[in-house]
Amino acid sequence: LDKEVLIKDMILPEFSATTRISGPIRAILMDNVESTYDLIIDMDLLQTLQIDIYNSSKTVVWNQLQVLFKPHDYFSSNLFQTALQDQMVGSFDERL
Amino acid sequence: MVTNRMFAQLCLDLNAKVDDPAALIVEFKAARAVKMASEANGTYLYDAFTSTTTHHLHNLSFHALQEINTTVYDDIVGLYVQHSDEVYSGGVQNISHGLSFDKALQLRATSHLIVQTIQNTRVNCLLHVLFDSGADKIMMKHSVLPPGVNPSLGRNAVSLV
Repeated sequence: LDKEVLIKDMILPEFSATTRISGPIRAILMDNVESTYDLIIDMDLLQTLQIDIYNSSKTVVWNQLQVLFKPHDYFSSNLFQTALQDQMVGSFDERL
Repeated sequence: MVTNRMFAQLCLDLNAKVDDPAALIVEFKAARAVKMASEANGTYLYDAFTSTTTHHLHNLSFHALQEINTTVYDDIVGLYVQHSDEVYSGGVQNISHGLSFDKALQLRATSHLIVQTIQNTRVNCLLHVLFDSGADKIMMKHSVLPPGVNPSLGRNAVSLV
């Protein structure tokens, strides 16, 4: 059966740890276990949030903050763990 | 021979909008006559013809395409193709610099997202997110749903009762 959830209060910490997207957004549940991604954001939400994808510079830009594209296996590699730790430290500093 | 389907696709690609295809062929021919005359005078008006053609193709609606006959399609497309052949007779622009991407790397527009509330339940979970400009719906992996969070039936759900 077609199932969905309502998601609220989201943060994209790579862009800003202090900006919260209140939502709610409606997400359809998918059973694809092979998918590398937990959440796929569609064009409508990208437009609403004004998130720009630039293939020329291989960056995603939101509120004048940019994040580089990542290799498809980034989340399963050590690179992600390291980046996450760095970010948590950065976020902690930001709040101080 | 250009088929209706090909032309319909062409017009869809060009964002067609208006409903007067019969008048277009007249304007195409007029624009072409201007172009031919300008060539005879030693001046070229490729841009004028291109913009006229493109403008009118933009103005065709899919609905209009259902109602006009094949000869009109063929006439318009014939002119367009003929003009394109002339424009590109001097060679085409080679775009190759963008094709040297590293296939193994497969760079994607991804990030991670902290979700604090799902179905009015406080969760705080970290999700890997893909920014997909080709997606029409927001999709969430079922397996990442925290325990205790119950999804609801979707709008397109089919009752088995």
